[in-house]
Amino acid sequence: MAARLAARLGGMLVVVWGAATLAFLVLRLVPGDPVDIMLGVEGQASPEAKDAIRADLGLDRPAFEQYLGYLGRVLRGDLGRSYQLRLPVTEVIGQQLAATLELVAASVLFTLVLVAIGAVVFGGRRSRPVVGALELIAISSPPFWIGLVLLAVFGFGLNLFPVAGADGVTAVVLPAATIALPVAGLLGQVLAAGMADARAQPFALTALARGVSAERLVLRHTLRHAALPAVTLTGYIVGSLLGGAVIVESVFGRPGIGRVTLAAITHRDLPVVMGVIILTSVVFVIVNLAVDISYRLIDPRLALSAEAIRGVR
Amino acid sequence: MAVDLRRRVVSRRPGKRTGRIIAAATLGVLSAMALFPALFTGLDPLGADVSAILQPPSWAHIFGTDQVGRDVYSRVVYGAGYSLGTGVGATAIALVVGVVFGTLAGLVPRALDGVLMRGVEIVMAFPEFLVALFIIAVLGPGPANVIIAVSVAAVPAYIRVARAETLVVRRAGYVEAARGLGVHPLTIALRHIVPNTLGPLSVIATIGIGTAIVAAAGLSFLGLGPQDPTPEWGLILAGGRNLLAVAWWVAVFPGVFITATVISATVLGRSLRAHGTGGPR
Amino acid sequence: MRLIPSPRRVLATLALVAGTALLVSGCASPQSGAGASTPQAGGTITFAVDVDPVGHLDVHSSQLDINAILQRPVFDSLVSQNADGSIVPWLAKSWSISADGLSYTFDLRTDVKFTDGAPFNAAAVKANFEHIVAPDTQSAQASSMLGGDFYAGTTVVDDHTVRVDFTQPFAPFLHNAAAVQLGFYSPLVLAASADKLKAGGPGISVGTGPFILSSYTPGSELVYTKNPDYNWAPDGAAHQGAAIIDTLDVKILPESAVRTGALTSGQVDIIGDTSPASLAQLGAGYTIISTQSPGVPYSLFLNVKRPVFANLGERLALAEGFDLDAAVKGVFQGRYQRAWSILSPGTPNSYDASLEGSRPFNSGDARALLDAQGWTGRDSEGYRTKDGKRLSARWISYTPVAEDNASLAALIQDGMKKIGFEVKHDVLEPGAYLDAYLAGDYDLTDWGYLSADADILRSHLGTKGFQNASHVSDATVDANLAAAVATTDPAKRAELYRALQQYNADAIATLPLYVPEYSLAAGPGIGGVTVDINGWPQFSAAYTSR
Repeated sequence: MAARLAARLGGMLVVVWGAATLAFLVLRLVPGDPVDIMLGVEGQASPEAKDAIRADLGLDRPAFEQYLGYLGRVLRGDLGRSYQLRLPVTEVIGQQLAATLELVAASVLFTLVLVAIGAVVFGGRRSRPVVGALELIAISSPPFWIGLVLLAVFGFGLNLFPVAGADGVTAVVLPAATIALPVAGLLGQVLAAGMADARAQPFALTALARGVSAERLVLRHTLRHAALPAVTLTGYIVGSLLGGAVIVESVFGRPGIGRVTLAAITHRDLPVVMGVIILTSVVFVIVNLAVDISYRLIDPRLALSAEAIRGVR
Repeated sequence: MAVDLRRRVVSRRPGKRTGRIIAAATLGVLSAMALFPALFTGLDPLGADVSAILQPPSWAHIFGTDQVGRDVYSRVVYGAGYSLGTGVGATAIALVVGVVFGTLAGLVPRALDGVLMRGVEIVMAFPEFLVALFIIAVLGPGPANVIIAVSVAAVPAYIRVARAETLVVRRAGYVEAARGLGVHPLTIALRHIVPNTLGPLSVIATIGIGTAIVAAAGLSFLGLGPQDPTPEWGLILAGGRNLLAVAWWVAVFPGVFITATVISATVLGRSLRAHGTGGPR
Repeated sequence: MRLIPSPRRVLATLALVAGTALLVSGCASPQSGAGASTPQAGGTITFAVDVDPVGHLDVHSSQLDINAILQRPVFDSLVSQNADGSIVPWLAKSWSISADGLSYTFDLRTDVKFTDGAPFNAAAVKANFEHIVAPDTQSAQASSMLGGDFYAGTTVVDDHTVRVDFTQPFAPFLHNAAAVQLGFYSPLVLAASADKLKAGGPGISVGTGPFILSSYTPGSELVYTKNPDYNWAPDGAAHQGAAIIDTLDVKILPESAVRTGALTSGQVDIIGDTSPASLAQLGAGYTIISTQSPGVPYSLFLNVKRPVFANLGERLALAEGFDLDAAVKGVFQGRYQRAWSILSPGTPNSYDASLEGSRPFNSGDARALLDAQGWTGRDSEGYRTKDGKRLSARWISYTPVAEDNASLAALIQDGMKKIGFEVKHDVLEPGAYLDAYLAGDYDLTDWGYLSADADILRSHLGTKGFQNASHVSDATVDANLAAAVATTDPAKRAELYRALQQYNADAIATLPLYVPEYSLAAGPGIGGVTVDINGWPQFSAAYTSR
């Protein structure tokens, strides 16, 4: 058990280390002089001043030395300073984390409510095709489009909810609904199709892709089908949130990590991009660990399969 | 057992057949639009007209006109080429890269396979849309970079499936026999293994075209893809988002087209799978 | 560079030449029934804007309009400029200019203190002006407003008398001294936290103004609380003493439609930088103030060092080749004025109205000009060619391009295509734009540059001007610019600037497109908001009546 835990922790560290390395490569691969990008259009520094900044950031040292120094700083929780905001990246992300967490919590709640309504109220055989069609539309519509439609109908049209900002409970309704609709659509389909259908879902293919042999897959079938929807849900929601937050926060003018990410990308604020990459990997690892642990607590027999399915979206 | 389960799924949904036909027809029409837009509209998608700005749908402009008087219908029709092209292009790249690396991973020694799959896992730790965004952060915005970004984000899933199929097929009797006969490993890979991975991958790819179109449209919507006046669906939609209250038609019609395309791709992909074309062995 | 980032509307009906117009919403909103005639003390006003000046909060180095708007509540200036361009006392009770025009002596108020308790005095002025010119500050705009190379130094004459010296007469100085860019930080902040000014925030962005920045969440919100001790508003200001409201809450809402929706749903009280489409949605009950931005209107800059625009023929063809009147009218729904001069009508004491209507749309003439320049061939796409080379101009823009400007660009491209002239519009991200701009690798670029003094032409048309995107190099122009900056005689200056505007109208170094406006819209129940010469809101007299 201890060895298993150690291996698990090791695996987690590998993911975070890989993400950090990837983030470092991002900075290296970006064409152009980082100092020029940092100074931006307003920057009219002399070559000497630029050299000073370069030395200050350690950009004049060999790449591998920079890499080691960077890993050391990441380990100490120092993600560098934002070019654009001129603040420590940890502070930039920290300032916006609460708003995004609020969005996450509301989206999860909405998803559960929507799925429950779909399953309990409209679960009958007759309404199933209608619900199924709605689910399909929810899954297939681009999130920004859903957001705009909700905004136009409920925000501008009916004036039921605030259209912008992050003040109060009502402001989170439309953004969270935008994220929850596709998630609920997918989960509804998974539930409706039942465990049998789970066998033919792409994530079963992906489980195979993880190297689980066909026989082992069948052997574990009965164990897996109970775990799959929940694991899929968790992974999918986390994915939808972090990816969807970029669009949703932009459409609704909400503050949050997504807005920070988009601004960092358009302004080439690379330290912030690196910070978000590392944050995402940490979130992924923590979510998966939480899922694993909860399954082990619920049913020890799931220890193996939960790991086998980890990462499935 | 697996086969039985699939049959049950199919037989349980008798109405699916109509859906499949509609989906195929929709995709057919959209593909025709993408390839021969001039057959569907005589209007220039870039033809600005100062005297016809933001006109509501009418017989002259069935989807209305946009903020510089361009015909929204002709822009949506010509947009099919950009959006489907991006979706198919990105998926094709992801498919090819996925098959090459997936097959390799399934054939190379375990240690190398492990390294490769850990790399895939690290990329898969990120939501696909974020991966695409990060790629854009490196490469910069632009239509070609959007295709690359979307395909890189999709690649890990293809690698996994190709590898899984390879692991299954390499143990099949005829492959063992071919190996026994001394057939060159590359020939075995190309003749026996790759064709077998294509079945299940075609299912993922069909659905993946839809996912790729949404992702690419999302990037355009955020202003990271093609620039105005390119008639790309996400971009047209973005141009209409601040006009919703005065000119709903600019944002509504491209959105309907994106959704219809993705639904059709999803329905078709699922029916391919239900027919067992691509079910995993 | 202070690019005017987005479209601004004209509301012709509101003749706001008097820039200190009151937003009296009670009168404007009979249906709402809001009793705005009874202003209440206290309360909060929320003001929604499109961006925040992330990382560029230092008034001494930032060149962003939005920073000037959002820092004005916090920072005061030596003098204040009325909408007609006249200068009135503010933190300086009076001033005198030496006969040779080289020295400005300011007699400061003695009752002013910074919100961190530090006294405002001659030493504080000196410390701030020295901060502006210090190399570490990397100031381009504020330092040029302080005279640039002409600035000689600031001397403390006595505790409340300060003298600013120049190496040659610098006429725009008084206008510039009224701007927030030459505002005053607490000397305590300059001594302790000079390195944090760009990041800004509470305890850092500390001035003498009517409001105190009490919280800042980048990308989201700025909260200001009133400065209860404030008693030094400009001479003749609508409101003296401390602000009426307790709190000013600025929300960052990037989407124009979202800002409008937030206003109409009552979520915010005032929205800034309001687009024509948004203004069109606002019914009765909303008060709109729209002000033409002074300075250089939104223009195309023709790079005369590149082959395409090296000769006057092609430049004239661009100026006459597309229907700019119709384009501006269509894109801005008739709310904006088409620009005729390289200076906006609102620029004090300089605008040459005789240029209006001087070069109407004439595609026939444009075609003849291009034929005369030898562009007689045609390629497969219908563009003109000469010696097998297509007639094509590369237009670079800085991303993001405001939607209305993108629409205008589309109409320009379309119009020019009709006469066989290709205009390729490359929208570049900041780094790539800067590379192309500095390398001169463009035929056209675009911006508008807001400035309350016509001296802005020195940087746009002067041979050594840092914004001379057209690469103009003309001895007469340089001589006129030098003479205009050195004379304090208003009539003489106006004459020199008329000559410069005429030069540009003849040479087409820049092609002015439209006169941007800054538009504010306020909901029912809000009153007392005034605007400065730029159309930017001032909140010390603002009140709510709910």
